[in-house]
Amino acid sequence: MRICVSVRLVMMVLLVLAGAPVGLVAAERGADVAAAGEVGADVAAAGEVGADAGASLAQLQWIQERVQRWYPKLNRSVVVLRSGDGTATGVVVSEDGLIMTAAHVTSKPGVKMAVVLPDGTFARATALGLDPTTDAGLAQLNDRETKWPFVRIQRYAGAVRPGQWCFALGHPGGWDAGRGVVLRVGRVLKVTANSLQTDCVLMGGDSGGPLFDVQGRLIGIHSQIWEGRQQNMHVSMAPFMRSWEAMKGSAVIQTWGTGSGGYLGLVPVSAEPFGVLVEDLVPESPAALAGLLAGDTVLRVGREEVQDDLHFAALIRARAPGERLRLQVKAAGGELRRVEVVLGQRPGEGVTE
Amino acid sequence: MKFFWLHVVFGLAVLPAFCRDVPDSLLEQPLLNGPELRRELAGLQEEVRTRVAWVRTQEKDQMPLVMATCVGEEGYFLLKASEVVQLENYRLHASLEDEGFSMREVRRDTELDLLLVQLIAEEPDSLPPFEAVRWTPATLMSRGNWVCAAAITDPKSAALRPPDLRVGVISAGSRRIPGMGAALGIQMAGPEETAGSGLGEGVLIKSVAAESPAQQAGLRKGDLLQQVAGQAVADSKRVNEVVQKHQPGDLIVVQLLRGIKPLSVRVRLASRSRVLANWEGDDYANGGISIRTDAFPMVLQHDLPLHPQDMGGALFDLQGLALGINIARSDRISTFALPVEVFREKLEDWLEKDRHPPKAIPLR
Repeated sequence: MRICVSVRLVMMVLLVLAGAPVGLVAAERGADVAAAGEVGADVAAAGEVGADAGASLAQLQWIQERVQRWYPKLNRSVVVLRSGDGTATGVVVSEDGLIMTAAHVTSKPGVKMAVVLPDGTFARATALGLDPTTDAGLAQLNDRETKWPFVRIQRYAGAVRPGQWCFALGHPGGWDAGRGVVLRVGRVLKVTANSLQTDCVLMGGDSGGPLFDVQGRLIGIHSQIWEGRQQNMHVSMAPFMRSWEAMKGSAVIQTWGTGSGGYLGLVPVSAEPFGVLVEDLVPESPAALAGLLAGDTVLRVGREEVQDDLHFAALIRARAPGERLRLQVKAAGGELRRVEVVLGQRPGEGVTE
Repeated sequence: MKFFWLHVVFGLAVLPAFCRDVPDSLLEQPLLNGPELRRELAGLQEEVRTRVAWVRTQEKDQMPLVMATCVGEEGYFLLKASEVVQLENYRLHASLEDEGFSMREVRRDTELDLLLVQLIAEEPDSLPPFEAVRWTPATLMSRGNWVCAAAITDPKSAALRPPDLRVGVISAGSRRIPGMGAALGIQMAGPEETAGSGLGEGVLIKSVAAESPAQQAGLRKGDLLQQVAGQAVADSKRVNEVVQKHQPGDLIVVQLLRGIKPLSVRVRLASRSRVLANWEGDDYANGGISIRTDAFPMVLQHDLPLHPQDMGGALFDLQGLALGINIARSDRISTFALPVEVFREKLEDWLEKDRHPPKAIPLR
């Protein structure tokens, strides 16, 4: 008997995540405000049952209504992508057939892929650009004439908060006509500069599939899983928005030669009304060497006012190791001072090749 | 800790596995199935708990622990048949306090993988009344409908604890799951290689799949298979023919030669699809999958985070009405439930016949 292992998962190391440049975050916030009119009704509906983050029976009922309203509209845009001997998922985001997926699905610009549409018919697509560090990838359906059903994007990654409800669609294990697009409902557990963690459980073949908020807007692309059932990672919209035009132009985004950007070695906690409190410091880290102390509050990074912990992480990781940076710091006693710091590299991210 | 890409690769390529500690702290408490929701749904949890039970062996370690659903007040329970092979070895606990009840097999249906049992009263009329589930049509359910079930708190422990409530949604289309048959989980050598080993007549085992029936029964690379389920086997084709006549969950006897020592081993077959998917032992299901995962006439698919031990418990809606029986943990994201429509008529019939067995007509 020959062994035929039909489905096997590739095991790889975790990619440490890079950050979002500040200017773009601000620009995206503007765009979000412009688009808010469109979803105003939804936000109002969310308000009726409190926030969209609790878990009361009424909340569950509301989530069910939302998901069941969106599923038939959104699943038409969720496609199977096949290249080589692998199967994955993608989501159509424009009428002329632009597909968002994971970088490890497309692997490099120009790769030809077979596409299985939700009705079971086939099409062809070509890989565009990708950002391998964050696992963001784009592809284009070769037929640009058809008016493809597409989904809306939540362009401002900062709008996604831990605790909010979300749902995942995808083709885990590949195309299955009887089963169709598989739905999972869950909540956002963690938000980092470039990724989201949810308890929408994913598996092989879901890669590149869409994660939506309960307003039916795309907020993530399925990327990685760890063993735990709560360990499901998605690429957030941040790396897509940051490099959108370049990726559409088939560029391979290389933010950093190695590693994931600048490193300070402190534990930031959002402070009121703005800034981050230094809760703890890694001994001998760039932050410790520069004279930062636990209890300090970082108010500004360069000229930028720090909004919260996520914003702070994004500001630091958007810079290269070795860069000299000026921080405005308020000590526990209230006095202000300037601290010069030289960004380091995250431990364990040294050059290995 | 292992880390998996989601990308699925077909074929036999052996890929390197890297390990690394999780660099960032990950949230411990799931939000959807965490304490917050359990508090909110405490009433529902009680409702569900009163209608399910645990079944475990009487052996020392008392494993495995599996779930059962009460379907009749007189102590009738439904179980997943392929999880409970020799009923006389098991006892059912309907509450944390009871000593456990022996069970009598009323009906074993291998097509549906259901086992109907009745608890045996130690003395006449000593059985307490049980609360049977109230059924509701499952056909009304579609993707996105909330569903819930009781889950064993810690599947690795034999201790009885109140089961947890788990909540999730119907996640895919209801459908038939075709059967791919049963498998042992062995790779066999061709005739020349077997002959070359000089061991004699039979089929040489070249490798054993991880967590497969063969591995669990202790079969090893280098063993020479001589008889499978009472049939002499001279080549791999014959082994497959014999195995394919059986269902996942069946116990078969395998006779083999290990060196010069003849051995007789009992092997419990699993679904072929399960054995192939898990050949290298990548337990991406995290907690394992059921022995039998296919050959069901119709299933509801949902995303509840359950374990194979939770099968046999009912699937409920958020009103506490039962939609069906959880029948197979299939992979990391899928659990199948048999919708009530599939077995309702049969179940009523089995119960009716058992409650009112045909009486002998006195001869005049």
